[in-house]
Amino acid sequence: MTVLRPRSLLILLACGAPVAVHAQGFQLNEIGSCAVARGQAVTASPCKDPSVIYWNPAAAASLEGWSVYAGVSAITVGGGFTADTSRRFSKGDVPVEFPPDVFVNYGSKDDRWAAGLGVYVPYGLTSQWSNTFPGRFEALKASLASVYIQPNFAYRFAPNWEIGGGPVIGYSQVQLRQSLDLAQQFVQPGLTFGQLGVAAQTEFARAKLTGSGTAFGFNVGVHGALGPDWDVGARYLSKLDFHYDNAKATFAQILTNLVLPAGNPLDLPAGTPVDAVLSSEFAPGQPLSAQTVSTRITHPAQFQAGVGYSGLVNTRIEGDFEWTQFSSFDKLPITFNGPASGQNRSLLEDYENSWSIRVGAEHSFPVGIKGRLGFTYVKTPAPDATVTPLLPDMNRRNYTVGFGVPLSPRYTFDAAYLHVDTSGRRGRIVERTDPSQTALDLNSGFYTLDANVISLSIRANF
Amino acid sequence: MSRQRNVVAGALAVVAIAALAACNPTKDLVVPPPPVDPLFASYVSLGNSITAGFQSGGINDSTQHQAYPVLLAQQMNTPFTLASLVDPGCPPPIDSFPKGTRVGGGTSTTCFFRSQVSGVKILNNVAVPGAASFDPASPTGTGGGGPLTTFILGGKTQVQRALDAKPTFVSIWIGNNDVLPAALSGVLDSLPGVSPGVTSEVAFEKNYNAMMNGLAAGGTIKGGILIGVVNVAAAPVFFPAAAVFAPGVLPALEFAVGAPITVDTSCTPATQSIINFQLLQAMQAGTAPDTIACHALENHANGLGEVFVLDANEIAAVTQAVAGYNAFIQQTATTKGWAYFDPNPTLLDLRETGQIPTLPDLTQPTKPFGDFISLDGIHPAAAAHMLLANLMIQAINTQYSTTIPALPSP
Repeated sequence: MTVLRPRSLLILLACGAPVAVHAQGFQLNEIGSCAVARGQAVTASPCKDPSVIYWNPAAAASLEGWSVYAGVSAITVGGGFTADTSRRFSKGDVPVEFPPDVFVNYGSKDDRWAAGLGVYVPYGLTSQWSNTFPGRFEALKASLASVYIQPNFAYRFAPNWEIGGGPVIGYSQVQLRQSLDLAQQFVQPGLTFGQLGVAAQTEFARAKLTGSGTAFGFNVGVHGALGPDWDVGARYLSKLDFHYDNAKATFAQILTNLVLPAGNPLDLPAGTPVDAVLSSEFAPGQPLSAQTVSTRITHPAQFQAGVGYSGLVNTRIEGDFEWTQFSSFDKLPITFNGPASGQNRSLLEDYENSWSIRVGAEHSFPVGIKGRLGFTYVKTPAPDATVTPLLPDMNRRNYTVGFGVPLSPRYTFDAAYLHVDTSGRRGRIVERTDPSQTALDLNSGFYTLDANVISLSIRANF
Repeated sequence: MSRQRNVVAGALAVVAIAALAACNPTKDLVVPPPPVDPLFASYVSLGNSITAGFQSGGINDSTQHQAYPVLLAQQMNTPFTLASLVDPGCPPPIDSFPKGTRVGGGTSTTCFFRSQVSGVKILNNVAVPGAASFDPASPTGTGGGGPLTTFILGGKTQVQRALDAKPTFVSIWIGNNDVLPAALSGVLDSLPGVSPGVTSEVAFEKNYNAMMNGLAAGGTIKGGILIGVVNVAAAPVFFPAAAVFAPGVLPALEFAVGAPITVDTSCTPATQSIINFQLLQAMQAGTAPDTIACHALENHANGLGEVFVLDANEIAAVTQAVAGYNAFIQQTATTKGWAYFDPNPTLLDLRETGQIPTLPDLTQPTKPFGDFISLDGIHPAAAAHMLLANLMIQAINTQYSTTIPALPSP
């Protein structure tokens, strides 16, 4: 009789990780429409709204009185995968997502200090493919929402110089779906169904995992002026270790319609349906029964610094450098709490530190309307061997444009459009099972990726 | 104001340059070069052990890559994937005749399975050793391939796996095992435990049609080549019984067996019977008496003169069955407008010119049947695959006016 080992679930969990930690991948920094429109280059010369709690917590001290900033973004992700040999294009099937953000801040009337709270979603996209996508055994769908709640306090310790920061409480929800390949399952230790002849990509089950985790960190910044026209700023967001304990993993059988012939190596009668053999593996207590899984995913630390110039009439410009410590995501521990506990292991990801360069500008028109423009170049953290269906990450060029319109003395409306453009990248649709496997060994096609974001926000001052 | 305009213009220029840089995406696909003709965009081979790459009583990745469909695909310049079996094989091929030792010290039941990386989705060579005409379209099959049927097809039929590849061109060489096992046993009628019997022409045609109809249902095939069944009575594994009267032959056989051999009075220098060389191996193993008889003897136990022996009538019956199969196969090819290739004239020519010996050379343990036949005396060796592939190329080019280049002469 067969003994299935749900190795694909390991892949499922492993693939879940990039969603959670791809700050340069799925994180489009769509937090605050003003900042988005300026290419996210707002560390030194921040937007005059409470979203600075995220972008540079120190700058909150420059906001006077009560201010509230609330917004939502509509994010669409496009692209797909073209296989080398067949040239068949598989289009991504990602639904539109709407991550919100809200910030509130109170600044003292003497501009000495400020206190506030920010709630934002730095990771809020979904990776999804069709049921016929050849890479569905790596990922069929992955959705993640990591909400950060950040109390903030800022203090002006010298003229034009401020520090600020606060703790970050993170709550993350993940849902992953994946097709399971019978060819990858073990008949017995060391022997897979693939070695018995079952064709690769023979779907016999779909796995679904839902889980949540919490983590704690902090976000601190410093902001100051070097003269009447020059501003500088820096901000550090610590890593957050999310623990997804007791995530639920369930499995649904998919019929293969395979039939064992006479003389089969399982010594079963000719004509025995393979699906009948497999069905027992889904029974309670068996490897593909519902069980819990735990893992731990570190959202890497980020550092950004910038220089702003406002010596132009009604115009300010800024350039920022941003660095993300993705090297912390090199391995992923997987712990099964059910019948598959013997399969616990650590998976290799081998991510590298990444960086981005951001430039942005804002021009104030006489009627109070703000025009904004920006560009960001993002270096991917994914090595060549880790470009997968779950996140076919690649270097990105972000183009942004937007405006701000005063609706009344108290209310302002901000809007931004962000377009993510890439050149595409070679990638794989199979698991990397050994560190010696290179991109040349694994990659079998070409991924394209683009995204469009429309961000809308309302600012209120009291 | 001019300073401001310059700075804003500079910022816009940065964005514009970046935008231009983004307008030249590289579609970095690794696409194989096109085939010599669109007809061969997806080539699939169906068949039995010869097509699968079985040689010297075994099969492994090396022998699989020597098989004629691999050579055809190579010359067609079309991708071709096979169910790679890990060396030393499943089972490992024989490396010494007549001792029967195998590569890596394995036995006839040794199997190292498929390689991990060979669990491919698309299989171009779906042929299975042991497959008879009933097998390609049957989920259960005859069992002639044993576990190899599963190892190669993984629970699907040859037809199903062929259609997975959306073939545009197929080659089919099936039918040898409708007569070979019976001929090797010496018993042409079905006898459980001894012989599966020879498939009747009616049954063969029914089976063949089921396979062809199954393939046609896929709707992608634009052409193909059908290959005739080998007259297995001419296989080198059979030697003429009359040869035992030639000088030196009987002592050589006795040396191989390691015991004296009695030649029954049913054998004469004029006998037309042929004997399966496996009889000597049975004598070695003690499962057959050390006696050669040339036709079935009444009141003899152990099938003496019957098992492993084909007399003149039985040879004629085998030849007739093969001729009947091949007439149908050729008719099918003609009806569909496909190419047809009969390997028998070529094999007969090799035999008549001595390139396939009448008797195995027992002094050549690694090449007893010459360059063209492997150590089991049944399956073609690499040189024969090259020869046959070239002849098939000729037949295909003639039928379809294509320009598949020939292989270098073996």
